[in-house]
Parts: sequence; structure tokens; C-alpha cells
Amino acid sequence: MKLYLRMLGNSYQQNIAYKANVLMNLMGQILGLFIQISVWVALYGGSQGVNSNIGFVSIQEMIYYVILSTGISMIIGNQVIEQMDGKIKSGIIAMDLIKPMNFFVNILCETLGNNFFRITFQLTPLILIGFFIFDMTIPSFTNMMLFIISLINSFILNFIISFILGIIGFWYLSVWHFSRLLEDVVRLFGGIWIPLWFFPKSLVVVSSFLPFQYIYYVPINIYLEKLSLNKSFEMLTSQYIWILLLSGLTYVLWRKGINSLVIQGG
Amino acid sequence: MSLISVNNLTKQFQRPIRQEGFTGAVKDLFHRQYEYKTAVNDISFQINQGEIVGYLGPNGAGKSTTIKMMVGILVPTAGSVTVNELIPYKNRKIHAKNIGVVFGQRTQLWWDIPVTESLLLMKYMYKIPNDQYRKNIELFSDILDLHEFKNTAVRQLSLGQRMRADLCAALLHDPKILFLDEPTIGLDVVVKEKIREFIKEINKVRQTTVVLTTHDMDDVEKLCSRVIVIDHGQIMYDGNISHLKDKYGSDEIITIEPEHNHDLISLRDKLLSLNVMDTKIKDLKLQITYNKGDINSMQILSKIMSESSIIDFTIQPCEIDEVIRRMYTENSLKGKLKI
Repeated sequence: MKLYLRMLGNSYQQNIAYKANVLMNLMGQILGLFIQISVWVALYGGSQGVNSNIGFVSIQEMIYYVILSTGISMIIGNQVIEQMDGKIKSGIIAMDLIKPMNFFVNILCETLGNNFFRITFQLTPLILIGFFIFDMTIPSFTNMMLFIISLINSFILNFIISFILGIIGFWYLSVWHFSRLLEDVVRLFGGIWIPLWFFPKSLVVVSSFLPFQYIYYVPINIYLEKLSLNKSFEMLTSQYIWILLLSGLTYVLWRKGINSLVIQGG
Repeated sequence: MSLISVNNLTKQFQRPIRQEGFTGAVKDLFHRQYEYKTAVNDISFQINQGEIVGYLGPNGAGKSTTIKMMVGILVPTAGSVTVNELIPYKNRKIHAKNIGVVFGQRTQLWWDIPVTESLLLMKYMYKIPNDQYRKNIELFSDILDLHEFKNTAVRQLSLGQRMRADLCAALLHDPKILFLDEPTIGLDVVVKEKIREFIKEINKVRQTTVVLTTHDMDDVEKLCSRVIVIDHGQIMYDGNISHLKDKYGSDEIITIEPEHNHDLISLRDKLLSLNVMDTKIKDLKLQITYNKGDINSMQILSKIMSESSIIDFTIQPCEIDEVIRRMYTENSLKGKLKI
């Protein structure tokens, strides 16, 4: 345990070494936020709200949605696929495997370290902007709690999906393009840019069979109090089911993958 | 029961064959062909506790592949490896606690943090008790001179410094077996010597078994009690060094400087009656090449001294370098003939 805490701390510290990177990243995120908000304001065209498949959605709610989705990406995002891709391609993975530690937990610690770093240096400014410029409000206590729980689940779910795609590198050696694919799929079905509220029926049906909406769409809806308490619990249960299913898949793939692993280079 | 037991071990790699040019690349996309390369082919050997074994062979002979299977990061295609009664790849985490590994070309330390921090992480990872950790750090820092760079980030170390830090890290948990894959590659003479002394010391004091691959024959001669030579994935030789010399290179050279130059020719003619391989006159000296199995140096010298007086002589024993080189080339010639 102490080991993993230390590794988490190291990963946090390593980020501090690249300060310019952090600043640029933050500016990029905030710029992106304002662009998205401008687009939605233009789309609404001065009307106070539009009808969607969950009812009336006001421009204010839409702006909150965009801010929340940006914030969530800072909390739950990861570079697991790129990381594993690099380790497998260069053969450095050998150095991780000769140590008496769990590879999954090892990567998880590094990710957590990075994310805590982002939470302190990127999320804080975003929260300030949200509350002071766009007058965001906090939901009821129950919804806030549910939001936090669902957010933790989102993190786990996103991490596991990335890890699975990383494992595929054991067979195909190069998987970074999966990372791009995953990003786009989550962007669409997870509702990062366009909420599932505005989706045609068919896409909503497809999305309900996929794990991606549980990463962004569900926590945001809970925060915005768009779901009844029952529906919220139902969504949390679905998150747990997906986590369980994908954990099983991770385990099986890891077992198989490690057997066909080829260590690159000398 | 031997500590390491390798039985009929085989490892085969599958490699896609890339066709040339753009059309080739498109063809590959739809119909990929594979070739199979056998890196290690049906090898067997046993290693006992306390041995220092040199695992030698030319580039691409299968050395690293074997080491990787012994440390548990590659799964054999056929055959078995048992190390300390465990199957490495099946019991990876328990196995990892029994062994120390240094790959000369890579580091197991954390790139961005200082050496001491990295070593501390090792302590937690291997659950090393405090007093053992303190004692080892003290001992290793002294022998390996870690003091001068212990607070530097690993990425800023020189190769020699990094290698010493890596060795220290690999031995903190008192492993039973130490695997070294080219530990002296690219190092200067002083650091090489330091590392050799360290390995010897650890082996003597702790009875740590050492398996090392290297291309440096000095390493072999100064460290190894036994060598295993592998080429084309097969074992060419397994035994001690002196026997290796007897078998593959028992040629020695005596160089004689006679008092009078005019003796040179007559001396050479007289030696023809002895069972020597070759005689040569070079720079007013006589070079005699002979096989130790046929005749010994005393017989040659007494013959010469009975004929004339000499000022000086040197005996040049066969270098292990030469022996191994001969083995490799002989083998590759044989390989070519087979085809």
C-alpha cells in the first residue's frame, strides 16, 4: 500500500517538472470551453430553451452541461493507452514485469497521480470560471452524493476500457490509433459534445447497449437533476454491471496477452 | 536438486514478412505471411547454487531470449524452466522476489526521480525490513561509490553511474539468483573492474548464484567458474573455462630471442624433428606454435637450450577471446556447409 501511495506521489511530482505543459493545456481547455458554449448559444438562436427527448432543455442547462463535461474529462481522463503502447513498443514493459508488483495497479497509480495533479491545477480554475462567470449552482445534497459516486464509477469504467485497448498491444504492438478511435466513440456515444438528449431514437437505443454513456452522460444528468432518484440508482447499478463485466474481460485478456507477449529489443 | 533447471527449452517467434514497396504494403494488409524463427532450440542445462555461469554466444544466438524465459517475462514455446522450484512465468510475482535482474541496455529505476527515491521504492516493493535495507545500502554504496550521485535524477546519470545504481537496486532484497544481461556493455575499464569485484564479492559472501551474458571475455575470465556457449539457439559447450581452452584452443606460442642471429635458421630446422605445428622467423625472433596436447613448453625449451644459448623467451597462452572466436566461426562454417 505504501508502495502504491509513493508511486502515486512520484507521478504527481513528475508533472510539476513540466510546468509550461500544464499552463498550455489549461489554456487549451478553457478556450475549448468557450468555443463550445458559443456554438450552443448560436444554435439556440436566442430562444430560452428547446424540446428534447427528455423534455425542455434551457440554454443555461446546456452551458452547465458543457462545463461539467469539460470538468469530468479532467477528473477521469487518462493516457493509459499511449503509456502501454510506449512500454510494449520499446520493451520497457519487461522492467515492470520483473518486479513483484501488479501491473494494473502500477498503471492505476500513475494515472491517479496525474489526475490528482490535473484536479489541483486545471479543475480549480474551471470551477472558478463555472461559478463566477456562468453562475453555476450546486445540486441537492442527495444528487451531489450520487454524482460523486457515479463519477468514481466513470473513472474506473474509463480506466478499464483504456486498459483493455492497451492490452491489445500484446498482439498488435501498435495501439495508439485505438486511443483516437476510443476518444471519438466516447465523444459520440458518451455524449461529451452533444448530449444524448438530442439524439434520434435509433442512436439512443444503440447507446443503451454500450458502456460509454455511463462515463459522461450519466454523472452529468445526475448533477443537473434530470433523472429521478429511481432512475439514478438504476444507472449506478448499470455502471457496476459494466465495471464487473469489463473487469472479467480485462483479466482474461491479460492472462492470454501476457503469454503471447514479445519483449522488443536486445 | 539444482537451483535452475532448463529442460528441452524451445522458443519460437512469429514474424510477419513485409513485402517491398507500396503495393507490397497493400498486399500485406489483406494477406499477411509469417515466418517462424527458432531463437532457442531444445536446450537443457542445470545450474547449482553459488555458481557464476557465463552465458555466451554471438549476437542473435538466443542468449537474451533464454534469460527472459528464466526471469519469467517470456513464455516458452516448448520445454520447461524451473527456477528455485517455481515456473517463472506462472508465478511471476513470487519468482520476482527470489531474483535480481539487470539488463545492461535498460534501467529498472524510475526515470524522473533521484536514485535514493528509486531505491526507497524498491524497499517498499520488495518489502525489505529496515535494518536489512540500511545495511545493504551502506555496503553497496561503499563498494559501488553511489554517494557521489545518489541525489541525482536517474535520467541525468552517466551510463556507468546508472549501471551501478541498477546493480544496487537489483540486490537490495538479497535475491538468491542474479541475472545480468550484458552488465558491462559500454562501460570504461575502471567501472567494469568495480562491477566485477562487486559481483564476485556478493557471490562469495552471500552464495548468490549469478547468470550473466556478456561479449567481454575479461568478464568471463575474471568471474565465471563455468561457461555455457550457445549459437543458433543450441548449446555448443557447457563446462569450465580451462576445459574449453583444452578442447578448442590448446595452441600456445613460444617466442625465442637467441644470442646469435645466425642460430635462427639452424634452430628452426632442428625443431622440425619435434612435434610442433609451425615455426616462423620474425624480427630476429623465432616463433613456435604448438599444441599443448602434443608437446609441452619445457620439452621445446630444453631442446633449444641444448642447441644454443638464448637471451629471452616469452610464452603466450591461448586467450579465451581467441577460443570463443574460433568456436563461433567454426560453427558458422559448419552451418553454411549444411545448407
